[in-house]
Formats: sequence, C-alpha cells, structure tokens
Amino acid sequence: MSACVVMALIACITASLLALRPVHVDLPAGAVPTRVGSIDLIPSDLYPEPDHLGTYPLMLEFFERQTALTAALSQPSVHIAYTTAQGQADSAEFVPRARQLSDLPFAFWFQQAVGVLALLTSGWVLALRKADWGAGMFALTGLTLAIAAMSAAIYSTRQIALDGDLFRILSSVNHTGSITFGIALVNLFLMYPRPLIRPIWLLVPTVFFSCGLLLELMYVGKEMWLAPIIAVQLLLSILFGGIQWWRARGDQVERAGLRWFFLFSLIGCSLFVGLSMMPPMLGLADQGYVPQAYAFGFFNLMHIGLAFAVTRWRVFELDRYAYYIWLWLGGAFLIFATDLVLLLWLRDQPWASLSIALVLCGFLYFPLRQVILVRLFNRKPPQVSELMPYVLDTALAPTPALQSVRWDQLLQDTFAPAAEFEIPDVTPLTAQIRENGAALAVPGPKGLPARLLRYPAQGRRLFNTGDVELAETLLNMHKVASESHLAYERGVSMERDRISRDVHDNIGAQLLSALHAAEGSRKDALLRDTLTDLRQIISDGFRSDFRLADVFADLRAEMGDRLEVHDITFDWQADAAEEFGEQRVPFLLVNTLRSVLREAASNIIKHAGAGQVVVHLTQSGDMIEIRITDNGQGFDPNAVTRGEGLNNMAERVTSQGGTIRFAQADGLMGVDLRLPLGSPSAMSEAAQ
Amino acid sequence: MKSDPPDLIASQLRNIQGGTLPLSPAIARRVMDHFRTTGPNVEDAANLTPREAEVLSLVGRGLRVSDVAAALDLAPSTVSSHVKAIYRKLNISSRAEAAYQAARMGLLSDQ
Repeated sequence: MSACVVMALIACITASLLALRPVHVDLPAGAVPTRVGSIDLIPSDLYPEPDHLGTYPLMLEFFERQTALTAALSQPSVHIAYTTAQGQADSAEFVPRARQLSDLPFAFWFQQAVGVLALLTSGWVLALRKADWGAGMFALTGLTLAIAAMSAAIYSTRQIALDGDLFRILSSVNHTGSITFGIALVNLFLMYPRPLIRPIWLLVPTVFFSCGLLLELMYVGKEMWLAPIIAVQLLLSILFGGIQWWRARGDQVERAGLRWFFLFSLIGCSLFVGLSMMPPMLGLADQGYVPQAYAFGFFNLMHIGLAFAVTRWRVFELDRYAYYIWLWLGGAFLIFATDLVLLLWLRDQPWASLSIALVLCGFLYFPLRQVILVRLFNRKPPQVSELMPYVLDTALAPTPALQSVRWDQLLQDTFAPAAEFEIPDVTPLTAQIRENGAALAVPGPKGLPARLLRYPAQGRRLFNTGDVELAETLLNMHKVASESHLAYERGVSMERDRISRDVHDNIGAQLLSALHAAEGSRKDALLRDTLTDLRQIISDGFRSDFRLADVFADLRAEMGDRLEVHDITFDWQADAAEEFGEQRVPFLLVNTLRSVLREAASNIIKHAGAGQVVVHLTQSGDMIEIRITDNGQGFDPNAVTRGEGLNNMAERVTSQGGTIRFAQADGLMGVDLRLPLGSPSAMSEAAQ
Repeated sequence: MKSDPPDLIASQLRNIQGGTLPLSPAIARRVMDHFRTTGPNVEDAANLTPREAEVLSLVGRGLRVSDVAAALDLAPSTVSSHVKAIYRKLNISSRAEAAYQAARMGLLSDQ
C-alpha cells in the first residue's frame, strides 16, 4: 500500500515535470491559434489525442508537425495568429516562457487524480490479498490505467505542441497501458470470482494481445491496431463476466457482490470505449463525444463499484476492515493538509514574523498535533495484569472447544487483527513475525491450533517485537494456568482415589469382619458400627470433624446408660475434660473412639462380672490417653484367643496411628488406649 | 438411634417408664443452642431458669440424671422435673408436636 502511495507520487511528479517541458505563450483566454510563426495550423494539430487520426501515416505526419511547431515556439519571440473566444481573427508577437504548474489545465490534474486513485485502490487490494489471482489482476488494471491516464495527461493537455519524439514515446506508453489494461481485465474475469481456466492458460490471452501491442508499437500496416484490440478485449471481458455471472447463479450473496463489481467495471470500460475512443475511430466524429481526459474518469467507476461491493458483499474476501486503511491514509493526508493551510495562513499574516511563527508552531501546534496523533493512533499496549483474568478464563474453560474459542477471543482483543484468523502453513515453535510485519504466527497453547494473525490494530500498524513478547507472555501465562489447573485436577482425582480407598479400607473391612463374625450380637455390633461410619460419610464426607468435648459427652452418656442397666457403677474421670473444649477431630477418630469404648463396655458387661468401671481421660501433647479399668475377673490377654472384637478394636486403633494395650494390674483389668489427635487433615493423612 | 446397642434402648425405655424423660447430650446441646439463638423471651415463663440452664449444660456434657443430681447436690427426681420443665418450655405438649418441633429445630436430622 505505502509502495503504491510512493509510486503514485513519483508518477504524478514525473508527469508534471514532463508536462512543464514545453514553452508557454500567454494567449488571451479562450483564443485558438491558427498560425504559429510561418506554419499554418490544421485542426488535427490541436487534437488532444492523435490516436483519433486512425492510421499510422497520419500519426507520423502529426508527430513531424508537432516537432516543427515546437521548433517555431522555441524562438525568442514568435508571431501567432489566433481566433478569439468571440470568433474574431487577431494576431500578435509573443515571447514564449517556461511553463509553470499554474499553467497546467484542470484536465491534466483530473487525469492525474484518476491515475492516483487507480494506483491506491490497486495497492489496497493487493496489500490485503497477495496470493489471489483475481486481486492481482484487479491491481494490474489499476496500474495500467494509471500508466495510460498519466501519460495521456501530458500530451493531451499540451498548449499548442509537444516535441514529436517525446509525443511518440508518451503515445506508446499510453497504448501499452491501454492494451495491458485490456489483458488484465480479460484475465480478471477469467479468474474472479471462480477460475474459469487453470492459471497457466492466462498466458494465451496475454501472449495474443501482447503480439497485438507489438504490432501497434511498431506501427505495422496502415490502420491502427489499438481500437480493434481494445474492442475485442472489451467483448471478451463482457463474455467472461457473463460466464462468471452464470456460474454464480447458485450463490445469491456472491452474485449480489458481483453485480456491482461487474456492472461498474464493464459500464466504466464501455463508456470510455463507446463515448471517447470509438466515435472518431468509426468516423462518427472528429473527437470523442466526451473529451478523453474526462473519459478516463469512467474507469474509476470500477473502483467505486469495488468499494461498494466490498462494503456490502465482501468482494475479494475483503471485509469492512479494509476501509480502516483508507481512514488511516485520509488521516495522514489531513495532517499534511492542516500543516499546509497553517503555513499559508501564517505567511499571509502581517503580524507574523518568522520568530513568532516558530514559537507558535514549536510550542502550540506541534505538541497539540502530537497529542492528537497519539490519542488517535497509538493505543496503549494492554497490561499483563489486565490480561490475567482472560488468560485464566481461557485456560480453565471446561472443554477444548470452549478453550479454543476463548483463546481466539483473547488474541482478537489483544491484537485486534483486521483479518480473520488463519492457520499458519508452518506451525511456529514461538511467536514469529511473518510477511514483513503484516502477520504474526502464534503457536497454539497445548491442544489448541496455531494462529496466523494479520494486520494488527485493525490494519493501522504492523506487528513488532513488542507484539512477539506479548504473545509469548500470553502463551506462558496460559501454560502456567493450565498446568496449575491440571495439578488441581490431579489433586481432585487423588482425593477421589483416597475416598475410594477409605471406603474400601473402612467400610469394606468392617463389613468383611461382620460377615465372618460367628456370634449374632457381634455381627450386629459390627454392622451398627459400619452403618454409623457410612451414614457419617454420606452426610459429611471424610473431611467432617467434631468437637472433641461433644464426642466425649455423647460417649459418656451412652456408656453410663448401658452400664447402669447392668447395675455397674460408672465413673468418668476427665480431669482435663474442659481442655478438650473446642478441639476438633476427624470422624474416623471419633468412630474409632466410639467403637473401642462400646466394645470395651460390651466385653465388661458380657464377660467380666464387674461391679465398677472407671474411664480415665488424659491428654498429653497431641495424644489422647484413655484408660478403662474394671474390677471384674479379668483375663490374660496373651492366653485368651483374641476374638474378633479385640482384633477389630486393635485394627481400628492401629489404623489411626494409635496403640491399645490390655493389662491386669492391682486386681483391676485395664485397657490402655493412646490415640494421636492433631489437625483433622493431618489425621486423615496419617490414616493413610 | 437405630444403631444404638439394644441394651441402651432398653435402659432408655425403662427411664421413660419411670417418669424420666430421655435427654441425650446431643439433644441437650441443641436445646441450649435453641434458647441461645432465640435470645431472652418477652414472656418470662418461656425463659430457662438458671438452674434449668445448669442442668441442661451438664446433660450436654454427657452427665446422666444421677450424675447431674450428684454434681448439683440435688435429688434425681428434682433433676428429672427440671428436664420436664425444659421440655415444657419448648412448647411441646404432645409427641406429634415434639416430632414437629424437633424437625423444625433440625433435631431429627441429627440421627
């Protein structure tokens, strides 16, 4: 695009310089010269476009007369006869002078503008769609139109004469531009929107019409080749356009877009050929119905049509974004124009000395302009901390599809690329600038596709190393977030495993013991324990905990009630009962305490024949010590075959990291229980 | 209560027969919570007396009626009548209403 701007400027300047080469005589306004020096003018000498003469001999004669007239005008002074605007004959002696920019007529600038507009539109389309044949051919029509219009502008707006050799060169350039334009137009409709032929076959019309161009440039034969060639090209374009139109019949949207584009292109070309080129060629008139200079404007219809079609129907796959580029260009032009206006205004102010102007510009205008520019075009790059929530949102999205959508959204919000995302042909390992900054290839985070972003900031700038760093930061943040998420998921799954294991170890083992318990009441007791555990797990999960003081209160009441039924006095000695206070313990420990105390009570009731039971509680450090003594007959823990009851007690206590001991001392049978307390989570870890 | 040992259920039934209303530590704690959260009642009769509160607290800590009686130096029958007064102040006159109130206070979800 910028290359095209530069090209348009260079072409415009070159054309102006060439147009300033001939001399200028100050004829009265509207006067038509009839004689220059000793040469009588014939009407064709003043034709803007000599092509209208129709044959090569006439053309060559025309160039010779132009050279002779130029020579006559090169004298220090020249006598010119002319007809005034009122139709009176007059003559005077003129001193030719150098031509100035202000001497160039409007028609010259009009044709330059046509060329510039064509060049810019070409650059615009080409910059956004490089690899597309249709877009390439469209760009070629713009380039060739500019060549034709800008070269014609020089000779068609000459005052009286132009050096014959230069004239012939410019005419040849114009013919080359015209015929190449025709080639591009034919090829455009062959390839766009759907290729009618393989690209290699484009060579056929190209070579064919190039031969015609060669015949034209070498002035082979008598009649000029130009008009028939262009007529054939136009007919072919209409034919291929029609075929394209017919082929697009199934696709209403495509057709709607094509309608504008084809209509404007073909009408533009047809108007030029029909109103300016053909009438003199066919002998209908000496000159075209519309002066050629203005007829070139018809071609710009093509560009207007394209602009229409792009906005409404995405011709060439260009979206509305494509207009941001014009906005940007317009903005730059506006700044330039403002500078110029300010400059001219300051020049005309009587009070403005150079120093005041400098102060005004330096301290007021330039800083103000800079501020506005920065506001308009330099958005602050997003802060990493602002992006974090979005990265998390992306990385923690529940499904890969959603992750992909959010990642794309994040890239969209961060870089505002003007074009749709593409998938890079080569997946990069790190973020990379591609296509000289027009694109940025970003590898996908784990499991997501890589992306090719085009035209950042809605096409207002190019990608730079800052963007690469930002993209890398996003990728890293995404990586960290998704890894943490994975770790979390692993934790959840580990926790699930732990729950299954706990269920298996506790409930499973207890049910198994119950299954193997011979005695009915023992079976019942074991099942009751298991049921309690299970209910607890279901209502609170493994993580539930209890206030230790409540646990002991419940156990104390229960045991007391049971023993009382059997007339056994019960003493609960908890010197440190209050100390247990608010301490919380996990339910597995609670169940262990409960089942051990219940088992002990059951054993005493059934076997001991005791009259008194004492439960003594102490806490040392993070160990709880419970000593249950009875004055019954006792047993030798080593001698008795330990039943399932004792084994069950021992197992539960051991699984909680505690110890249990049965001992006889001072005529009292005792059970010593030691269980570690501590934080519930530490407990359940220990339980594993 | 379903999973309580059978001899325990037997003892509790016997107590009820003997005129002692059962009051497990868990329920005692719930009742204390109830009175604590509803705060001082406008009607004086609906508030627990200091003695009743003391009984309730001891029962909540696992002491049986006889233990409470010993601890507070009272006759067991006096303690029993305190327990009955506590029930009355919960505004329960029938067993159906007791079940309703218990459900309302979340007592039934316990076991």
